[in-house]
Amino acid sequence: MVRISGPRVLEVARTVFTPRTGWRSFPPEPRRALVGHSHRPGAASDPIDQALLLFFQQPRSYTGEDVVEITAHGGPLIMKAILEASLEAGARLADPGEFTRRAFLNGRMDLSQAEAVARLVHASTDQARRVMLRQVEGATGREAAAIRRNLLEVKALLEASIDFPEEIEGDIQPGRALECTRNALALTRKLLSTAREGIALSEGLSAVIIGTPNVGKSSILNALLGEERAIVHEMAGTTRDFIEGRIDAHGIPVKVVDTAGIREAADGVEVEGVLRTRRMMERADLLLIILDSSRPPGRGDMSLLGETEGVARVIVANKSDLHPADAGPPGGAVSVSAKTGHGLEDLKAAIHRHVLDRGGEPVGLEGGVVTSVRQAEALNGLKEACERAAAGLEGGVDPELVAVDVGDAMMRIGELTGEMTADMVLDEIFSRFCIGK
Amino acid sequence: MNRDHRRTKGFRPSTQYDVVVVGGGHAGCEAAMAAARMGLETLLLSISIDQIAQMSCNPAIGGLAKGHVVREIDALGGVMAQAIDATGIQFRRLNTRKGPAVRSSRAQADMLQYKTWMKEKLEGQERLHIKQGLAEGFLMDGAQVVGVHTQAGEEFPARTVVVSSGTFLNGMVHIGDTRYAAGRAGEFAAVSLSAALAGLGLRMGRLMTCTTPRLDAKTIDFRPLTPQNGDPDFVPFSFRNHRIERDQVPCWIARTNEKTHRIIADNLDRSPMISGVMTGAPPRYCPSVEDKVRAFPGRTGHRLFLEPEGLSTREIYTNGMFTGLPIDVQLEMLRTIPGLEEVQIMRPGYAIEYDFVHPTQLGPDLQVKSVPGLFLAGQINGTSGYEEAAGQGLVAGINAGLRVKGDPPLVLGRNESYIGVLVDDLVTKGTSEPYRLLTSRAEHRLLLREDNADLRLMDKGHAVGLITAEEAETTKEKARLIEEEIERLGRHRVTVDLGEGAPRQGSLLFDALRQPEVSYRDLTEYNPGFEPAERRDVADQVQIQVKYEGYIRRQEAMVEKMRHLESLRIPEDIDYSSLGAISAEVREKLEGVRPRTLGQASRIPGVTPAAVSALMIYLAGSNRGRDPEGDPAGGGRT
Repeated sequence: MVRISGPRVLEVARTVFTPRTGWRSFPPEPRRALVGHSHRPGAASDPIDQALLLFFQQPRSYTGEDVVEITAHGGPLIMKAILEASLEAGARLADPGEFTRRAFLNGRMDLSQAEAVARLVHASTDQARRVMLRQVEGATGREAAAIRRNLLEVKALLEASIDFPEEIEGDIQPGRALECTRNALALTRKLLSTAREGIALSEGLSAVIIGTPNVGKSSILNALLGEERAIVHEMAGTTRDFIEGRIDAHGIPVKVVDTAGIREAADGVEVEGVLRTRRMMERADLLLIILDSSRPPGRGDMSLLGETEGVARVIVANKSDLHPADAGPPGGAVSVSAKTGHGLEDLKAAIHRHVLDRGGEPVGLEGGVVTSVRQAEALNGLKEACERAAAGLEGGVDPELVAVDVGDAMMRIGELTGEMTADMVLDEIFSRFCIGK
Repeated sequence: MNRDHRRTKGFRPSTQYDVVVVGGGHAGCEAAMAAARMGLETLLLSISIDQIAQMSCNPAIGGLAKGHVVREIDALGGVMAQAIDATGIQFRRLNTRKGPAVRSSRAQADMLQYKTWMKEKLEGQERLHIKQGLAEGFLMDGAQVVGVHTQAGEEFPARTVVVSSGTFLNGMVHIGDTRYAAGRAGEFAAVSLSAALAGLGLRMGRLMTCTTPRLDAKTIDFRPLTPQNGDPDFVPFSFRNHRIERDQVPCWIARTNEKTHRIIADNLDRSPMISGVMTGAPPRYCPSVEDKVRAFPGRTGHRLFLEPEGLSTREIYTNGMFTGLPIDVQLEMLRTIPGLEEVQIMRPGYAIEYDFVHPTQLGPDLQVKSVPGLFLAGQINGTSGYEEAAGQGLVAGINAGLRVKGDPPLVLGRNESYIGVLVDDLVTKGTSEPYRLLTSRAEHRLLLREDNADLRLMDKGHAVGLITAEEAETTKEKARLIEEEIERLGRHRVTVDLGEGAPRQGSLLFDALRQPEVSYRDLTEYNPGFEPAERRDVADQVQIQVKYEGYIRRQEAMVEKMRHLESLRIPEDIDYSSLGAISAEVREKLEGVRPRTLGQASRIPGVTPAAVSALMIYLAGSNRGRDPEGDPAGGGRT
């Protein structure tokens, strides 16, 4: 499909497409498929392919501008020819994300929606796709609007009490400002609680498999991927390069990297590999520490466990198909057999759980989700400003000072949705209060 | 002989003025005084010199943000503060239970004394000439204004002209379905002058406002009414005065009821402000009582403030009952109010509509951008309120004077005065309704306080010649003492342990004072060796500045974020038609103002956040050398 947007799309459409019945009406009826042929300008007699043309009239289109979509049988040659015909007719190639950018600039979507479009298109797991679709459909924007409504009311209450002290006496319900601030704070906290899983869904995690030599790190990678990606050999130190693959850990896209085993005495090549493994560990979101459950943990295992204490990690006790050693793996380890596939789902579940280990809530089935670090930062600022405002209202701080925090909070919402807060407060005051002596 | 030939034309009673001020209201008085005191030959031309400094509406000066302006006027060397200190009959501070930034002074004036005081002041001023005359048009030298001519045929050549014509431009008074041309009830309208301004190419608009009936105090039963008294210890408006030694009188609070509202509701179609007879935009800030009843049908009562208009009159101003309803309805509704059952109206309330000049055509010096030498101030710029008018009058008068002297204009920043906020709002945003200052319009609100207007502005007043060297020096000395005292608090520590809740032993006095429950005077309790500053005004400033410090820092950080937009300059030759992503409506607004920075663009009402983003992206992308919207974008594959 070729999509064209802008004020002159109809001219382009007319030069590169001829309906089977001819142009009975022009411009064509919006949102009604026309059957015909696509062709180069002035070459209707030598069509490229049979095609369907759909016209969307502004503002009821994706970008908010006039949009034409031409659908043909497909195939790279045909699509390239239609694209070239359109360029010849005066269109130009869209920049990456330009349709969405235009949709944002024309007010068809807010920034949180626009951001989610690219993430939706690139979603690599079903759950990521579902959550991004919710964003594209405006779930975060709606929650931001609810927060803004509450804050706007607080601001209006404060400003009205400051600027019209004699006129609105008695109109202000005591405690209402605090109630609205707490509402805003609760909504903000709820939205922010989705940040860990939301960002993980959207940006994915990187997990690094580490362990002493020959505990079956590469086997675990292969088992998770369901294919023989890494070479497996009983000889320790087989893996020298990093091998990676992508898995779906209960919805979270995870890039898993297999590394060289960590041991002390090693040859020159291996030393370099171990160094690189350590660097990789520092950058990873999560470590998968593999132990061999058929033998007691050795000194190397123990030092690895000690050194990664407090770091985000999942301990995996591999080779559960063999007889467990007397001293089993440390508590909390996931028991897995790369050979039989036993415990792999538990491992994926553990990776997923890890996302919420340090706070946050599951994204749930509906409502807004924070899907980028930028959104999380704006919301963090918003939360802090709301907390200060609420504390101020509780502590009887003067309204002109609380107003500074509320104004700050409103600015953060603007950052979240990409709007700058304009003079909305006065409008709010005048719709709510009877002003004027 | 043709009558026209006998008409006086081109009579020049004097040779040349530096500044001619057209209109003797609150803007005109400040403009004329400022210009004359700057050493310039000044003429104040008024339709009726009996009405100089007339309070057309309420008999009061000050209020939220307005009280701030009066003090700023005083600090810059204007006269309004002295006038109200001398003629007030009740003085109050509003918002005393809130913080210092939003405490405002307000005073009831004896209207007659006020205007007498002001006229006397003006008449006593050297180089200030006062004449009665109806200005009809301008003397021009090319695009430049070089004087005015009057209905009587006089010509007054001048190097600059300030027009502060209030509601007189094409004024039309309405009382119910009665209407007549007037600048105020019973006074001439200025019809030709409006046409002359339009003839200069200025875009004009129409606004409306209304005032209340004036009641005869003899016919009011005050017993059911609640008195509202002034403050016994009032800090005067003017920094020159230390205390007010005048007797104060009370105002009275009454209340409308459902009967009143029913009468109003039944007669809504007889109000020209509601029926559609009047075409101007109404003031949201002092809405007509009919508008209130219509907009808030659930309310069972509205407060009315009965304000005496002076000591030598029994006329009572009915604050809260602004109306354009017919006089029979006015009387009927008033008589439903307890205390007013037998009331007699001395003058009816009325509505007035008038022309104004869209102020986005002015520069920040209040000079018309396309007409050098012509300055506008007050309601002609779309504002309401005596204080807003006076503040603009002062700025326009000073800048007319500076222009004559060949000096650069005085432009006050949004972070240094409410007058700066007012002027910037007018010339960048324009207005579509009578504009009133509010503290919420000032993003630097915590910095702009009544208590520090002298510290903010006196050196500027001195620089233009309206504040004496001694006054400026006194203020500088005060600023120095405040600064030293704050530094001292940063050196001394809490030496006494007073237990839980009290400032920690060893902490700086500065930090101790930041705690909400600690006051500057208490500091000796925490450090017995510490002697507080002797001067009360210094001590007050130290306390306010220290307590506000954290919030001011946050406020300024927010402003700084927004200021990023101010640093993004829009090229002067920008072609808005090449920005495909903005609506025709927004484009028209941008074309109208032609903002200089992205920040200014974002403050124009109707310019949407998305349009600002579009503009930002355009500015960022304009160096790509590609017109971003000239061609339709194509591409995209399934």
